[in-house]
Amino acid sequence: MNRVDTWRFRWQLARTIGRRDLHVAIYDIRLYATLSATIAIAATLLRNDVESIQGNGFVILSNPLLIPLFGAAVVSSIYLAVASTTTVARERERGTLEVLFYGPVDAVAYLLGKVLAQMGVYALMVAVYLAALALYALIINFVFALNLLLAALLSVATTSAVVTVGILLSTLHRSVRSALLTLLAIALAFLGVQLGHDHVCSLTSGMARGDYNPLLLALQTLFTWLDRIFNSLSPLAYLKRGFDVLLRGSVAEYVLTMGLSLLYSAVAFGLAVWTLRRKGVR
Amino acid sequence: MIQTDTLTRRYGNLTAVNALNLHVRPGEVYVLLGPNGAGKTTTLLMLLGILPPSSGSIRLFGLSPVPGNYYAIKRRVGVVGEKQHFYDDMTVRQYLRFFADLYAVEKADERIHSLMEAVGLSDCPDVRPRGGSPGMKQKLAFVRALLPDPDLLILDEPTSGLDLSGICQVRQLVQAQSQAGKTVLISSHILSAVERTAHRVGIVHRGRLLSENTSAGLHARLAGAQQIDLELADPCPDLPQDLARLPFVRAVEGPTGENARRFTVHLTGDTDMRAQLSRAVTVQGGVIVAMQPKEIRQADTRVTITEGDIPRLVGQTKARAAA
Amino acid sequence: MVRHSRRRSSTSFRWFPVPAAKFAPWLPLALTLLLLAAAPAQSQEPEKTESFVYRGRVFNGLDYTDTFYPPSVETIYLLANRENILSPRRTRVTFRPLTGVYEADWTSMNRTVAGELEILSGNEVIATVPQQSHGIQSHADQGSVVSLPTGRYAVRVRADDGSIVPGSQKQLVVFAPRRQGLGYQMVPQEGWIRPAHTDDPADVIYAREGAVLYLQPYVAEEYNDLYYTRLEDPQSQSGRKDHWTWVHVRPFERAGDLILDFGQTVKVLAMPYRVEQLPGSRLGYKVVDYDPVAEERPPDFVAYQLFVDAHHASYRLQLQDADGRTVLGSQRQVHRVPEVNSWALYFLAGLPTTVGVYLLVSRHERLVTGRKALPPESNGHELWQ
Repeated sequence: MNRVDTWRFRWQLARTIGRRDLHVAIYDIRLYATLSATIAIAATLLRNDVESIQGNGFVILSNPLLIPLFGAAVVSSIYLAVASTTTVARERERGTLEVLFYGPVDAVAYLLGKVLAQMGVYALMVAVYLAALALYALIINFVFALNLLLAALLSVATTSAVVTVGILLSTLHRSVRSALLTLLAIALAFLGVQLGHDHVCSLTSGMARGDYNPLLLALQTLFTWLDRIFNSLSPLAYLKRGFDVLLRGSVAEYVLTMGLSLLYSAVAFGLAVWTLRRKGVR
Repeated sequence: MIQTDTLTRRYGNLTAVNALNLHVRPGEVYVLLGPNGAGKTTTLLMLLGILPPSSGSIRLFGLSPVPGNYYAIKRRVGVVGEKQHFYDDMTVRQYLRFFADLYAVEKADERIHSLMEAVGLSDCPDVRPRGGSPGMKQKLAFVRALLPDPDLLILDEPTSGLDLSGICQVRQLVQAQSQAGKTVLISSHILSAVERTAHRVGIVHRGRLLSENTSAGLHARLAGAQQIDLELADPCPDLPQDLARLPFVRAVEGPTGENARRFTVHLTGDTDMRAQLSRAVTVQGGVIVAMQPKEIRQADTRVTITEGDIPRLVGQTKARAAA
Repeated sequence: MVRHSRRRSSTSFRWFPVPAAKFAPWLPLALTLLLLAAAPAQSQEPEKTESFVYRGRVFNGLDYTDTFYPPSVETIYLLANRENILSPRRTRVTFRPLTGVYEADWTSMNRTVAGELEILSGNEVIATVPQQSHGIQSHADQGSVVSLPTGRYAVRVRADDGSIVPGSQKQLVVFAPRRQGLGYQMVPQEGWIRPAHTDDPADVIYAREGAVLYLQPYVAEEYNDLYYTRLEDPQSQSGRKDHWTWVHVRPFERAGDLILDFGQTVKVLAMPYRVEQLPGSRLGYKVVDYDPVAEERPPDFVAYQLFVDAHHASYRLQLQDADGRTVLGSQRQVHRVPEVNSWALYFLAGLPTTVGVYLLVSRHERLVTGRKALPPESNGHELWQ
């Protein structure tokens, strides 16, 4: 089989696996609960805007629907992070992964199918959010701007980073429980570093370096570096950066953020394939 | 069809498969026979590319399992694993359709329908496999394996957990595939009606292929082996281990039956050892209420192969084999 | 005996050197201990120390403000092509942890440091500015006048003996606005809120039906957020280099009519108004029309009145100058926000869960129907084909 045929067949396998996973996700009540929760969050934010307008007479807003969309993208990313972290581990735990590999399924096709499924779920979620926001815009007479579509497109790229990292974590574990514990540990580590960084910076805020306690200086250095590393490793940081870029209206940075997110996803995907091949399917 | 050359798999200091040279010819039914832990399943997993070998080579259909040949090879292989795993959320039809799509089976719905009819699953396409019996799950696994009309069928412990009728069905399947010119590779620790359909049987022990024989030749080696069914007055949980240590006992099956009082003791040789066995049971505190000897015949349903059988199967005495 | 290689098998492969499950419980404890260790460091308050500082009188686009550059400030930010005064001083400086800023005790010490201010570009001195007395906005001061084009420089003080005064070297960022535009300051007819600003043409004014708004046009300039923040407050830790901020620098004095475009256009004239404080416990204010004949005092402000009526859901407004030309950047959209039962917005949120439950129930019913058709176990008569 030449390379083209191999990739053609691989793509067909990935689509089959992705279709199945998508079918599973569509019959998962948690998807709908997440959709409802995020639309409720959007409704709350917009309700606050409406009440502010009614109370004060007017409010000046440039992107009133962007923040609700950002909130929806973050919550969706968390949902997909959990879903993608458990997907491979669950199949390995139940033995269905090995059965798949009895057949003509290889690591690339399998994981590509998993990514396709999760991104399909996200595309569905984004479509629902945009429809909900469009409806809200109609009811409240808010502007449904073009940059919402750009934001949605950007969020697809940044969410792919979340999904591929989740899948990478999933390939490392043999059980759903340990995969989720690892995800939780990483999330807590990120949060801890962020809080630590904010705390230490508040202590040193405005102080000249010569006036620092040496321990404080060391802590500030440590947390600053950790914060930088975690911010470049965290997929959600790319999402936040992307929305920030949109708010500032910088086209070049928008394209750069999209590109970096996709590159991040490609690297995480490659690592996931390598890990699955090394670790095996049992 | 299958060719391995000094195929080896190690797990740290443990060698699970040791320089295995296996050659299975096209259209042949070949059984890898050996006790549990002999390396049979490990061998199959290496053939399927699920476990990488530590050293040695594999060729399937004359192709080496490099990435470029991966799909060409795997599309021609159907596998029924030892344990059946299914997706909780899929019905039988959905499950088979999913695998048909993976294998790119043409006219998938027709193929699924005809295979389900053949195995008796046509009345339950919309049920979930997890609610089915072990026999139903086994049938479903066979249908899945046969979907791509594979040139090579690999069966890992195909009769494990099946009753007589199930074993007969599997035997008929294997015979039908063989008659159709397909190659069947079976891994088993049970010598049953299925394994007896084999053209050749390879004896595997501690990762090594010790010998190959025909099915008839193998059975001749086992002929005359005795089997005694025991029933005790009271349960005796330590009895199987104690009896298994006796030099004339090949294996002990059980306890089974009401209050776990029944055992099947497999003896070596063809000398009447009932008195010795009875004495051994009494010494252990057991009270025998029934003892029924049975000689293994050609038509016997199943004989579990244990470590103690290896010398006989390979044609060595027990003492020489232990050395 | 077979010698086995020591190659690691895939079953013992680990991605992390230590399993995450073992590591995770210790991490929060480790972080907490680290942060607690930092706490004693906070209690150490630096003493008042005599330090070299710059005192500044700088232009911020609107007017001049006094600024102070303690040793902790490494960079001075100034507007381009404007006169600013930098005055080298010695004073006692102390750090206030609660506010996070250094304070100068001018009363105890406020000595001018003799010398000339050198401005460097790279390593090359491009200007030397002596200290003189200056008066800017009736405020007399002693220092060096700095007026530079945009760019990055360094400043230092060379003492009379030719040496560089320790602590006087600082970076100097001179910046200009990215763009100029027209902004509006807006207040409602009555209320108790600070005036709102709209400077970006992408802004949309959302107002309720019946709202009466007053718009005053301003010339606005857009500055780099970090630079401008540090210009106004050199010790500020806020401000982002990748953000931009609008500053209203002066009223737009050549304003003509405000044009409202509903499809057909309506002109709104700028009119004078005065503000009445609402008495008693009501708090707030009310904007009322100014009658030049009846009023004894001048109007409080001149603005364009915008009435948000029920007939137009949204429209555009723009400002013309005194010559009737549209002022660039003056366009804004106005949207009337209807009264909505806010809780009705949540109704839409319930739809996805409703759909999900329906899908699950219908699938369950399909499966239950299928399970009833499960056949009895095979009797062995089926033949394999």
